[in-house]
Amino acid sequence: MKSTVYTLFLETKLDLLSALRTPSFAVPALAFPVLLYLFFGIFMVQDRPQDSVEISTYTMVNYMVFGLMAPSLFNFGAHIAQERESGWLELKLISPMPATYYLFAKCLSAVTFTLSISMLLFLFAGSLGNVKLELFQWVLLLLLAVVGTVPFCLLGLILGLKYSAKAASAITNLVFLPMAMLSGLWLPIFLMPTFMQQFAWVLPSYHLSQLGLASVGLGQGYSALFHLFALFLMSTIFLFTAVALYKKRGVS
Amino acid sequence: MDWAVNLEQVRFSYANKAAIRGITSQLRSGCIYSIIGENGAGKTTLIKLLLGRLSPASGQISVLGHEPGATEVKNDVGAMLQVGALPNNVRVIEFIKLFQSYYNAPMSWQGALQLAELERQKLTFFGELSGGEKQRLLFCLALIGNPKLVFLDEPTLGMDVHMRRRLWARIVQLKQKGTTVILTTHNLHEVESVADEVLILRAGEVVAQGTPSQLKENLQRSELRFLSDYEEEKIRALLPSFTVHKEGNQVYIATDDVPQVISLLHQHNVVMKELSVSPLSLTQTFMDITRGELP
Repeated sequence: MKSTVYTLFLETKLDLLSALRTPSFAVPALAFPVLLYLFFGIFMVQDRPQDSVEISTYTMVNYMVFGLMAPSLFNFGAHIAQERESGWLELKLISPMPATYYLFAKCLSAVTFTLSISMLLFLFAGSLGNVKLELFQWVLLLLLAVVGTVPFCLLGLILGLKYSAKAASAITNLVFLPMAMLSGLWLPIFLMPTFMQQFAWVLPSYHLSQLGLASVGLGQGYSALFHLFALFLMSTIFLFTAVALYKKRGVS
Repeated sequence: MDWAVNLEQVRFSYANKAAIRGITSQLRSGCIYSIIGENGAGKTTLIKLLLGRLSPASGQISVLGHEPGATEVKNDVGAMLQVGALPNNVRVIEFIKLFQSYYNAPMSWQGALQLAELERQKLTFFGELSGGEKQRLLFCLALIGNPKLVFLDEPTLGMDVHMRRRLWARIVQLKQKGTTVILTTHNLHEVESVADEVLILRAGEVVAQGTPSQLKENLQRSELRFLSDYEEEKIRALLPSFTVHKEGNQVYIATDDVPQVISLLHQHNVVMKELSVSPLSLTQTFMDITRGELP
């Protein structure tokens, strides 16, 4: 191969271009979290001067997690299923390019979406929501967003390898929306019925949002290390499941 | 002898269904091979085994002296598979530059565009290409790494007559450069003129391998052709021990006893117009070899 970096760059560029040229994917992925944040995190709290900044900060973190979930889950879940079925993945697998490049490029593409969404949210939060954080807190949030993309990419990979193109798209939606809701990304978790609150323990989005909230001083009780460990454990389970499916599908 | 591919007693099964049943064959470097067989005969499975996408249950496969799919081999192998679709919103030039980056010594992107005759469509999205143009792009992606061995699965599918001729000419040029070509196609007339050897697969076994003329000579049969309104099934019923095939009004019968066939048809008042007898075509040879009950 010519150069690993050049091939990875082209793979990522093509994956990103393909995603951006699909408005039905790119527009909701980029616009939804930002619009929802503007509505619930800024305009709806303008008449509550006593805690508007705190709410804006809280919702910014939660919509950041919500925003990174969609590109990661869908770019891996639905898109890999489509590319596997159409034969596009097969063509790449018989070429000298290692299969890991394909996955790594998809991950980089999802991270690019994550960074774009996070930066947009930070921009609105800082300007319209008066959210004021230390520089290290902004950087920490951004780092969390990048690292937090990984478990969702792995979960998406499991769906993309396990299901057909049509099924993967529907199932990804079935995973994405309830996961966001049950993690308290739309509505604070303590406002939900007690039995619904229990689901959050097994959701990576909950632990990621709690880590984000802890990093801006809005943690809800459990230590950051506990959430970090939970996220690591889930990512490891996803990784092993994905590798097993990967071998079963002959993607090597 | 320099072998591009060596298969020894290769077997493969999907669940409990045997797809490849003990194939042993050698394919020389720098030749054009055509694998032909009915649907489900095992052609695609065999190609997947040669590409390393499937592993044989037993037996040995060597491709360019290595295990199929090994890193050392991938740089020297190209493949044009029957792909449903590439991403519709990616441009021709983007595919070419991406695939170019996969190989150690690829052809230039200008050369690749020229090979595919897609210079004018270089900025066109895949979804906007015609069926033939899509095939040409896949053909060019298979050859972009200057492979020593190339697999072409139904390369002329969706192409017009002129484009098909130019593509077959390109395939012959590949052979002249020393590239080994392994192709599958249903167009046996075209194979006859370009293939050095034909492998006929039937129910996962190679039932015949040889040059097109060897295969025809071995059968020592002739093809009887005539125009008739008589139904194919009725002719078959009259001639149960011969291979009968009808396209439109044209009837083709493979036989080693032309007078007997004519006499039989005559006895049953089958009107035969424009009757002619010629050596067996590859199509008829193929049908003759693969007829009968499957094991």
